[in-house]
Amino acid sequence: MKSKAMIIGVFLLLPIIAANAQVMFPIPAGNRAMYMNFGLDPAVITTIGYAQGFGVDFIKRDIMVSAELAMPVAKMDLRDYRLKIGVQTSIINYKGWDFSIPVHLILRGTKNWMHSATSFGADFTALFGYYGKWWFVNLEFGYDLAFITKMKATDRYKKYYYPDFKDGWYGSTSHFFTRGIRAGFRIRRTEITIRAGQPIIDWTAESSELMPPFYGILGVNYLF
Amino acid sequence: MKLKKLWTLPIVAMLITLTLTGCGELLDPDEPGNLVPRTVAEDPLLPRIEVNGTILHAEAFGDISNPIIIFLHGGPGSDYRAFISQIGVENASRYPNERTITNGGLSQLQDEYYCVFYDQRGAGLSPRFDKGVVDFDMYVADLDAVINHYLQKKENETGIGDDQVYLMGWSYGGILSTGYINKHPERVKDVVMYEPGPFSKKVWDYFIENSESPFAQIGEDWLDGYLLSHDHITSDTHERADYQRILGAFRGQPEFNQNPNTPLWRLGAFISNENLDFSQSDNYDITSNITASFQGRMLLIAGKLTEEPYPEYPDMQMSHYPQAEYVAIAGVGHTGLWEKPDEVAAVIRNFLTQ
Repeated sequence: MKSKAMIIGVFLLLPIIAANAQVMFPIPAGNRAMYMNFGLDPAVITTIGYAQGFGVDFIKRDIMVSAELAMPVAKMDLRDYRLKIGVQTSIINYKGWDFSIPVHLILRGTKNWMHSATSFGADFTALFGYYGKWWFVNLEFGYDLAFITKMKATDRYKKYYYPDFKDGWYGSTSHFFTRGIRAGFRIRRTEITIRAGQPIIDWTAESSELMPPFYGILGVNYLF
Repeated sequence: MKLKKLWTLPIVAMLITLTLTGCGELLDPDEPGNLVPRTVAEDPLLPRIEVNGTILHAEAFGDISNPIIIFLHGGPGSDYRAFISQIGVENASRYPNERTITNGGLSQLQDEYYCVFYDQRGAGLSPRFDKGVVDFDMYVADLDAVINHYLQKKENETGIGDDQVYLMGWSYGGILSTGYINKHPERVKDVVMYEPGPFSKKVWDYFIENSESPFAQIGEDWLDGYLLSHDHITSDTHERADYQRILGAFRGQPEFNQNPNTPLWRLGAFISNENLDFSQSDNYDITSNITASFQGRMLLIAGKLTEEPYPEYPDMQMSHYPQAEYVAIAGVGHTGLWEKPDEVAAVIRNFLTQ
């Protein structure tokens, strides 16, 4: 019960941390955007999302709140999903150079021949880059983790592999780092973006052989 | 819009979900026995032998006064469960006393042979080893120690001083058989292989040229499941890596026509790749000594469904042995010895008694 209380505590604290975190696409207060991404992350998925800018007086910054839903596209299955809600704002900004740390809370679900899983987690990303008038480029270093995951093995897994699998809530089943690049350009109200890089378990390793070798996402944002 | 209200949404969603699903004590994914079975290092009820400085999960069936066959499973990293199981009849429990039959799969050969099955170092229910510890030479040394163990046992129990065994290798087990014969040709009377992995660089190249690119499988259920699983499980520990690896077991190579329900106990994820790395080198050849020194015969068995995409493969493999025969089993692929063990066993009996 102690560990469960700790996890709930972390979730309660996250929005406070997020309030001091920040923005990838600087959307001014009062503006909004719809966006759609497509790419490998970690499977071939499509993401649709909504973002809105707010002015927050006590930190004297604009922040962007976003919500998005991602699903695999090859064979759409409603049991495979990723819901993210996030907060982003700039920490340091000097003549177009920007350092920010977006934070997202994540609810993920999947079902395959082996198990069904539902995870609560978060990602934290350090972004450093340059924003011009019509384009931007950022380096990203991220950390993604699942705090708790409910796992239930299928009858098939139990029959042919392991009958004594323990169904239930597991603590900390997943964490990995990301290192990559983000870039984009804007034409009037439309932004075209790319995000690509490598997910790694061991930060010091060249690659993690059991992980997908890379992630790559193409995105379109419409500002209104 | 009030930001404070928006921030409460994920917290409320999480608390509702926890309440509805009844989150009790959290389980540890890295605790042995939660996701995948315990190994012999953790479970005293599992059968074992101690050889070459390690314990290995092992069992033997039959009368030890009969000729000995040592069975070598595939992978690397898999186990001998499919050897002693049989589709529609028996998925051999890891505990011998829980099995419904005692002569399932190829263990039916126990009426004429003493059948020895073991999980290779780091694989199946044998103890785990970290990356970089186990190599092919160690596997060959383990096999030599297993052979010595059972030949000594035979002499101790029957007084029969035998100095040779039969080998039966499946897939990677065929590579191990060949590597062993290349080093110890005098210890093996005859060898049987079911769709062995490539023995030389030339065969590897042929195999790769005729295999589908992994990218062609994007969108396949198993691959989507495997990729998406990384959002929930990462392979930074043995238990999680072994569990995640099973998502792709018997699924990743469509040309093999494998039955995806072929049973196994545990797939040693950290063993799987590094033990084949040596075979990727330009001078890979584990047969240099066989033609000149091996006096025994080789039988290559393959499923007809695997033969189709690789028609030249059997001849290329058999060319490394001075005496070789080939038998194809209709209607099956790479897991045919689990799907048609009676037929495969009959072929083996016929070959060994010639």
